[in-house]
Order: sequence, then structure tokens, then C-alpha cells
Amino acid sequence: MKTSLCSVFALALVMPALAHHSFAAEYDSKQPITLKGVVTHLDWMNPHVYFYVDVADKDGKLTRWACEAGNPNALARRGWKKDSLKEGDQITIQAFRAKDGSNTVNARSITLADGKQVFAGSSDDGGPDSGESKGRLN
Amino acid sequence: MSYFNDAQAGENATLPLPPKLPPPGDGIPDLNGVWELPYTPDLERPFGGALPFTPLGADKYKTHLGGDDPHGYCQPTGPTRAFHSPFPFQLVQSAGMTVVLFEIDHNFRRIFTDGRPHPKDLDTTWYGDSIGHYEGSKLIVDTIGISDRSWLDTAGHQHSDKLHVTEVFEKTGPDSFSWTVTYNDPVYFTKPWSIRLTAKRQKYDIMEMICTDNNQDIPHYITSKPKPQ
Repeated sequence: MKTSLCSVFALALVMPALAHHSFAAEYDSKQPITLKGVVTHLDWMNPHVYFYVDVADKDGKLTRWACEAGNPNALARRGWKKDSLKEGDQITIQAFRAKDGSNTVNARSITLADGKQVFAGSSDDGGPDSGESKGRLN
Repeated sequence: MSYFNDAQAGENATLPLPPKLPPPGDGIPDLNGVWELPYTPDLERPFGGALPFTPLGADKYKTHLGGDDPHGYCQPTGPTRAFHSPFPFQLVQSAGMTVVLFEIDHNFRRIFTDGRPHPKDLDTTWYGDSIGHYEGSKLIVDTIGISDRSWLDTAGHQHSDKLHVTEVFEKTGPDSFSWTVTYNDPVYFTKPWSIRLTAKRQKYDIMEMICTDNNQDIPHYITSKPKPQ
């Protein structure tokens, strides 16, 4: 399942999936952030897939982050399923924060529990690492 | 009880049946099928440089906010942006009309090829009014009456309601056609300008895409629009 998911992300990198809004409309390329947490749920819906992670600070206090990914139709054509990310999955996300300071990010890549890094963003949206040369499977 | 009187139903209701045309592939290009054009978020890429802006057009582009993009609020794309979005579309040809079924926004366009003119006193709409005719291997489409509320692309190029679009669909093989678009808008551009993209036939079907289903972006946009309460 994870291999399939990785393939999906790699293909999603090549095939752009965002037309709904530009990266700059919402996200700040100068605010990269790394989130390490547990998936709480996933919205497999248009116009963007959203998934949510709980991130613990050093005291164990949890903060929930909303992570925007690509479009579900495009992801589905590349093998994604609505349960490709599941509640309880421990992941690390390389992302960029929303300009408004909320706990919202545009996810660019995800490191899965087994250490594989896969592209999660939308290619050609004007955001960082949206080219085809970055974000492939490591 | 009818919800519409004759006047409200418009000119289409009283036109005669369309003339019988040869089936696609027999004298006219067969464009039926599911197609996808390369995603083109910025029309300056295929154009090959800055668009020929008027001062107003240049200012609108230079000062635009990405968070003002109407499609970011799930408003329609207008007639051409849907084609070069990252979503496929289906063309359905029949005698007198070609229908475009866009996956993006689950929306459609109708291109009348039965010889009718554009309606008189046309009100502007998101997709405008499209009439077309065949010339050999080409379907040539003329569209006017396009509301200035739509944007031409994700990069923020905009237009006025004087925009006049000409599209040429020309088969270049069994599984490809070229799509050449000429944008003529004397308010935003000093001269007509064109782009050309190549559509490829797809093996997959179009899917449902309801933009308003889960549009969580709106509260986070950097925009000149009022924030939702």
C-alpha cells in the first residue's frame, strides 16, 4: 500500500493538479515549516484534499494543523484512494504556512512512517518545489 | 405551468431544427471524446512573453491579488480557462451543436454550428455565447458576451466584457487536436493575441468536480474582498 502511495505522489508531481488558486493567494514561500504528527482525518473532497494532523509540543500539548494537498480527481487517476492516508498514521510534512498565520499549510512533501519521502503538493502552482525535479521518491 | 414565457425562453426556443450535418469524420473533424490540454496557469508561457497590454490591462495585472481570483471562490472559469485547467473535458458533437463537458466545476459550454448568429442585445454571461462553423478539418468558434468577472488564467490576466474570443479546433491526428485561441479585447490589450496548445485524447473518463464541496481556502486568502463573517 505504501509503495502504491509513493508512486502516486511521484506521478502527482509530474502531473499538475491545481487550478483553483495560486500558491501566493494563500501561502507564504518564506515560511517553510516541518510538522511531525499523527493524521486525525482526511477530507477527500474537491477542490482540494485536506488532511489534518495533531502535532505535540515538548510538553505533549496537541495542536491540530490543516494541510492542503492536490485535487482528489487528479490524485485518484494516479492511484490514490480516500484511505491512502489514514487516521493514526504518523507522518512528517514539509510545508509552507498560510500568510494569515493560521494553523494551515500547503503540504509539499510527506515523510511516511517507513521513512519514504513523497511529494504532496500541487505542481506548477507557483509555489516552492513545484517543478518536476524535486520531491520525487528518495 | 411554465416557468418561462416565450421572451424569457430566448431566441433558441423559436429557431427551426438544425440542418442535418454529415457525421463527424465524414467531411467534418471528429472531435468526440475525452481530451486534456496541458495545464497552462499563465498564458504568457504559450504566448512567449508579456501580453500586449493597454495601460489599464497592465495595471490590472500588475496590481492583482491572487486571492481575488474568482475561481478561488468557485466562481466559473469563463469559456477558455476551463480548457487549459488541469482537468479533462469531453466534446460531444451532434448536428448543429457541439457540447463541451468540462470536468472542472462540472460545467459545460454549447457551441451552435447550425448557422445561427449571436443573439441580439446579448447580456454578458460567465461563458458567453458561442457559435461555430466547419472549414475542412477545422471547427472555428466565435464567442462574445463574456462577463468581465472571469479571469483568463490563474496568473491573474484579466479582461473586459468587450472580449471577443476565436477558437480553432483542428485535428492533428486521431488522438490529438490543436486549440488555437485568439483574444481580442481593445480595453485590456492593444492588439489581438493568440496561443496554441495541443490536446491529447485521454483513456480515462471525466469525473465529478464540485468546487464548492470543500472550499476551505476562502478565509485564508490575501484578498481585497471582504472577509467572510
